[in-house]
Amino acid sequence: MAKRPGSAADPLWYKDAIIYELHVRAFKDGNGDGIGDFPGLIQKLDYVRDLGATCLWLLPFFPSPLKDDGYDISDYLNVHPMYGTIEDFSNFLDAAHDRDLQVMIELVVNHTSDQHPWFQAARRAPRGSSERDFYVWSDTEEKYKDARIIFTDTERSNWTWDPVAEQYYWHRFFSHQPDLNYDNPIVIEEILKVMRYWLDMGVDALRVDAIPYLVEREGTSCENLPETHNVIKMLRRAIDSDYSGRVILAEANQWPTDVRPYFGDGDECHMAFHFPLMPRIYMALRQEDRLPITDIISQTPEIPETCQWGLFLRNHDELTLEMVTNDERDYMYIAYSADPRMRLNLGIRRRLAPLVDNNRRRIELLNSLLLSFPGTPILYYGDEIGMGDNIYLGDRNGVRTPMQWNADRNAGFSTAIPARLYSPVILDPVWGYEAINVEAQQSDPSSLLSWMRNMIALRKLFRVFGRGRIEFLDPANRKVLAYLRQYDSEQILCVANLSRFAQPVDLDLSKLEGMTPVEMLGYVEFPTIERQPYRLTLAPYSFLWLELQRRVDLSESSAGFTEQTPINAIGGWGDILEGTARLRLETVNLPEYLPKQRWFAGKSRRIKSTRVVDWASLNASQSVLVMIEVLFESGTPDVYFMSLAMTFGDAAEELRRTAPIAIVGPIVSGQASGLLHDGVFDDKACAALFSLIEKNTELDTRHARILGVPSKAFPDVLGVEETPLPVRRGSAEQSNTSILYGDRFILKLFRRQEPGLNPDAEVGRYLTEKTTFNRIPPFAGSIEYAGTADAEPATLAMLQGLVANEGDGWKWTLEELDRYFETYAPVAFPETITDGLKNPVDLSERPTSPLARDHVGIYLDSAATLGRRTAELHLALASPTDDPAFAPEPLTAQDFEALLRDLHQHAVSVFDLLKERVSYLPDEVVEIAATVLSKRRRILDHFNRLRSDNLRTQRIRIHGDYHLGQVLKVRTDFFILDFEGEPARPLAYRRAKHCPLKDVAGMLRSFSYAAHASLINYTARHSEVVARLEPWALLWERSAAAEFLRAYREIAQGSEFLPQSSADFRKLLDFFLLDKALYEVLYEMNSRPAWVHIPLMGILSLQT
Amino acid sequence: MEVDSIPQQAQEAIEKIERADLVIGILADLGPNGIAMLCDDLQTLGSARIVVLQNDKDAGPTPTPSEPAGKSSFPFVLPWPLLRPDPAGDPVLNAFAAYQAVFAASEKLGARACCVVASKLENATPQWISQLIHPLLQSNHDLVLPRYARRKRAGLLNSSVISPLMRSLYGKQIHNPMGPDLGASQRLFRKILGTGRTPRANGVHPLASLAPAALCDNMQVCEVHVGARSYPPTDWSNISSLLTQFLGPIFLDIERNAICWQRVRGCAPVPVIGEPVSVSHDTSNPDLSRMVESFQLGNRDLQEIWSLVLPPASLFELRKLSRLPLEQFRMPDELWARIVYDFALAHRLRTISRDHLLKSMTPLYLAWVASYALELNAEGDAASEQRLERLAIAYEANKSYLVSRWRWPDRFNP
Repeated sequence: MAKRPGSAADPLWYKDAIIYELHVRAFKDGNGDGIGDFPGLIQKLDYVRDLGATCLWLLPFFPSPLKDDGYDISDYLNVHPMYGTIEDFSNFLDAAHDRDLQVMIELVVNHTSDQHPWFQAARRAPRGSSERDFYVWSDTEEKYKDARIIFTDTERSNWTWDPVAEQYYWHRFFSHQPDLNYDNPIVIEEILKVMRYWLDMGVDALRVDAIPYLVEREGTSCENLPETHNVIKMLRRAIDSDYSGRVILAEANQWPTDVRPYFGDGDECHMAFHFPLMPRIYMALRQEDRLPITDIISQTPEIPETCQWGLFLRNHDELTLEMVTNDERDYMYIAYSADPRMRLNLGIRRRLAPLVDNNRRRIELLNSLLLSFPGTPILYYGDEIGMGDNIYLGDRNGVRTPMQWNADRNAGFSTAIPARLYSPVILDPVWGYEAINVEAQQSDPSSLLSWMRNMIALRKLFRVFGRGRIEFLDPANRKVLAYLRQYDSEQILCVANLSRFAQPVDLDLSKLEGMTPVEMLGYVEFPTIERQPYRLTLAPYSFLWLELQRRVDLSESSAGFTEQTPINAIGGWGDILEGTARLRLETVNLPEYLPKQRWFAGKSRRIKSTRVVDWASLNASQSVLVMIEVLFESGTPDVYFMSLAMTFGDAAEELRRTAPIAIVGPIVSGQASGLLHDGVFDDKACAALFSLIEKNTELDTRHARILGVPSKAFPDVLGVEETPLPVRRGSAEQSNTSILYGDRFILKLFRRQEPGLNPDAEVGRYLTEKTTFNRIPPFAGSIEYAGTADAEPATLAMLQGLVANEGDGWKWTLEELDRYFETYAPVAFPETITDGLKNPVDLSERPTSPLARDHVGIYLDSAATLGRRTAELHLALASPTDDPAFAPEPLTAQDFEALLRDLHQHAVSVFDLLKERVSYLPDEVVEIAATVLSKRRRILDHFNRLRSDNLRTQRIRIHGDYHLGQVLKVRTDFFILDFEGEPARPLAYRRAKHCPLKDVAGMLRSFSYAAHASLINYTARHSEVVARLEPWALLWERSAAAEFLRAYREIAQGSEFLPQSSADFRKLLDFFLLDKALYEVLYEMNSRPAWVHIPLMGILSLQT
Repeated sequence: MEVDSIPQQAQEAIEKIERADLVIGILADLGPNGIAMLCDDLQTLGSARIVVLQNDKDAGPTPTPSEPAGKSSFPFVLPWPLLRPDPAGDPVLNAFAAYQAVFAASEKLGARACCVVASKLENATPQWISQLIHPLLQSNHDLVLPRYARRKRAGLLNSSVISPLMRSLYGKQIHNPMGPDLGASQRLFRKILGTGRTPRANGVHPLASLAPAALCDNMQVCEVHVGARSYPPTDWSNISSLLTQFLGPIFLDIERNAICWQRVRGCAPVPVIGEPVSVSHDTSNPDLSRMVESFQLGNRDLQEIWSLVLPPASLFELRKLSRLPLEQFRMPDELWARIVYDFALAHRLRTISRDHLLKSMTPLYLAWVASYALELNAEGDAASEQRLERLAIAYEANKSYLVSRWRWPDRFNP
């Protein structure tokens, strides 16, 4: 037989549901008798649907003496006449299903009313008969003594004497609710009939009341017994065999670990309430401390995939405090029930809004938690409008008053005279229906009802809330609750401020680096997550839901770019760069393409748009040279130089496979589809660039000209080779892009453009053409962008001769150091060479220590060579000239004073940042960071000691970003590369003249970095020798630095840029060493916190 | 699965056929010998069992066909009153029933795919229908949609609202997401049959739901270049019913699929099969000044409704637009995209009666049409392609506007 489906298409519908709990009696009176009924409920189904609820949970509506609000059922297969007929229920069911609302009803099967025919028959039936055995009987009250009494306020025993039966009957709740006997198979059969009756009618879910108490056994608490689980499994099997899409929800007011078995292996209940969480939410709010929540969630076990927790803030019962400790209960009573009338049994009989003093922000905060915690939220009718309660009504009736629909008579609940109402409506000025009602809030877009409707709709957009797992973060501020929810590709960060005051919080989101949080309510993008702590400031009781979106990275998947709409290229470059396709290029393709390029310097800024500002065709329009202006959401725009090309067919497929990063976007031209991409990846475009220089060509752009200019050295570099030369692309692409032509030339494209010559080309041309210094790759030409006649041209690209080499100085040095550490790893550092660990300037002023030479070996010769070449470079750049861009200028004591002031200011900001970040640094570097911070005052005082009244030196053009990576090892010599200066600095600064000791300091810091980086690498493989190798590393660093300095000073001796006095030399050098080390601290904190100790040690060494 | 969309009298005929590989529903008049030419062309599909349901308003009670004897009996043509002859009936419901009937018959016959032909193409033989079928049977596409040759003033409701809206929301560049000519795989028409109850109960319309249903389930969608569609003449003086008929089901579907389209980022092309077909130039010449007057009238009389739907910034822009002389009358793309988004949102929120809401959009739509036509007055049909591409990009660029308004529909906004 086919299974009978429920009304929901998805069998796991309950995981995404929003359940709305209501009592038919309290919701809407359809016939004017003062009591809510099914016809009235049908009238209000649109309201429930519009609120966003997806499932209605109806409290018991069966015939009953109503001594326990309907939980004392006297007929399971009918509707209480007060609420309508079984036909009315059927109509309601259809109406709900028409609105895509599922329906859950109560299955109160632990007990019946004492008026149920089963009980009446049982008490009269003979002992031992199956009729008698429908219930649990005893001749004494002594059985099951270990079972606690639940309703302590009203019941003294779980047994009550029945004078007709002349036996005691068992009841876990009120004495008028005798417990059914599940050891009697006929009882089980009858309950199955009841269940099938309602499921056949179309009911979607059953809330099984008091589920832990079904079976009793001597010597136990009579709760959660294995026999009870057997009964539940049997009910579940019956449902699964005949029905689909139906759900059992367990009411088990127990600890999570005790509730867990009610899910079984997914073969008992689909859902169960999470009772202990609810009071702890209130506790956390009042204590302004997240611990009660995180503590109970951490105690909550995993449940089967198909199961779900039911979460609630309030329901029809008291706020139960059974699942808290005695101390916690006392606190809750004090905090939330000042008036003893508010207390009932082990709980507090109040609604949500009165519990939080009607504070809108607190209500919103609690609902935000309810809607974002792992489980299905259950809303209690009236709480969505902030209804109040009436503590002067008995039992739990104070929270079961009529729904407040409008400000008319009886709150719009009923047309009966007020005296006929089943319960008085709430009348007081704060909570009364005239102040709080649905109609008023529906017309108020700022009402709590509107807010709830929006929040529910938002939650329903994200399955992660109902289905995802939760992970709490642990920020230092415990007033802030922060957690991640994750399901499939959905990831959400929720942050809530439990305090009545604004709170700051730093969240460790380093594992989510690169993700962009998008605030979910307003779809507002927040700053991208970086490795350092993510700082948020939260208003009182505020919360944030942030959807974590991953930036689509084309390099990750070659499929990425296929997700873009193709650019229509049928109109050629004119259409792409100026026509209708331009809009897409500027607003979609380039903003996505640029941040993925290593050479793009604006990665930390958000691109607003881009603009093609100028362009020119290259090689017969097969490719173009383009100037792109990038506009950011804040700050000044940047201009980038690009070459663009189009590729179709198989070549496009090949490019897609081999270099997806180069693809700007898909294009179509007529029937052909292809790719728009970086022209560097098109050999013909690369050849055309070379040809521009070789042939001294001028191109007209839309607004200016592009000039190819060969240098005097071009013919020599070309030699006997014939053009075109084979093209290769450089692999070490950074802020520029390199194209290699045969083994003769390298063309460097300067991507980020600023007005004016690029210093790399400017210095290269000067050294090649105006001086005799020849330890640089020969400058062979450039491509320049000439705007207006009076403006200086900008350098788009520089052509140099290729120099055969053995790698850069950094790589070569690390290899040397690896061998050095391998040699000395087994060797204890000799105490006799402590002299070798002194300040390098001191060491450089005396002959090289034989011991240092013995141990460090030939690297000292290389360091000396490098020192000599550096000095020769500076001498060449300081030579007299008429060229104002290169003519040396004096650097006076006053100039130095100004530099000192700037450095002092910079150092203060670096130390402030270090202090802020110190707790987030890796453990191994915290100590040295703390040491530096503890010496902050002394370090800053050190600046004063650097002053010199008689300082005389020169500013000249220098390298500007000098380190081992900027030199090439060429046999036993070095060639110096890349005169571009620090790329992050403005062009004017990079073209300015500086003290040459800045370069010297740069190289000394590079020696220090090489020693420590190599030590880190080596000891990563040999951790046992860290302590032993540290002095060896220091010996190497200081010895190499000393040799470099000695050679440098020997060659530069007598020049005007070298301070005459040793003291002034030391002060200047210290200044630039500190300057560089501070720059490195900043860099490492943001990029490699584990390496921050290297510059920190450098700073400390300057004090010793 | 329940297939109660098949008229009772047709059940017997379907049962006699027993099984088919492909079902083709012909709602359009293919002209003299059209069906015969189609059947000839379908022979190229080899031994596939193809059943052609030919709309025949005069068919009356479905004739009982003789049982197909063998391979030679296919394609088997079954006359069937797919479209009800009641001219007073709701055309949307009528179309709903026709598509639903084709899907249901396909399901009953266990067809791998089905195809519905509802248009007449200019200067085309029925052979173009085979082009809709090939991707279904040969490359397992789930939805094959036509890419009609475009004339600049034809199909503007599709070009200005339906296509860019669906493209922006569901992230695929589909030019005619509502067909009406289309091919659907078994899993797609099953899905549509599964979600469709009665159109009155939940507003589902198979044409509005097909593309979203396919895209939200990551099904394979492609387009086929076909000729220019012969559109029924547009009655510009009574455009309201058109908006209501088409946009109502689309907005409903947007509401239903919010969980899907709010996840979609970016926009991708779909495979396009065949070559573009060139067509003669558009010679229609609507009265633009009357359209602008309608807008100006609406701007005066519908402020109360528009102010419930549109934010102050849009109302302000519209006010400025209403003051422009005809020759300068241009509606910015961003404004139009946001207007459409705001109406979709108001439809979801039931801000006012949905019928009134959609009708109140009429003057705005006319304003867009006038603006578009004025801008392209001197341009050819090719220029319209690029112009509409710019509009589609504006929809994409403003999708975040819709998402934010959808998620927090506070009327107190800029």
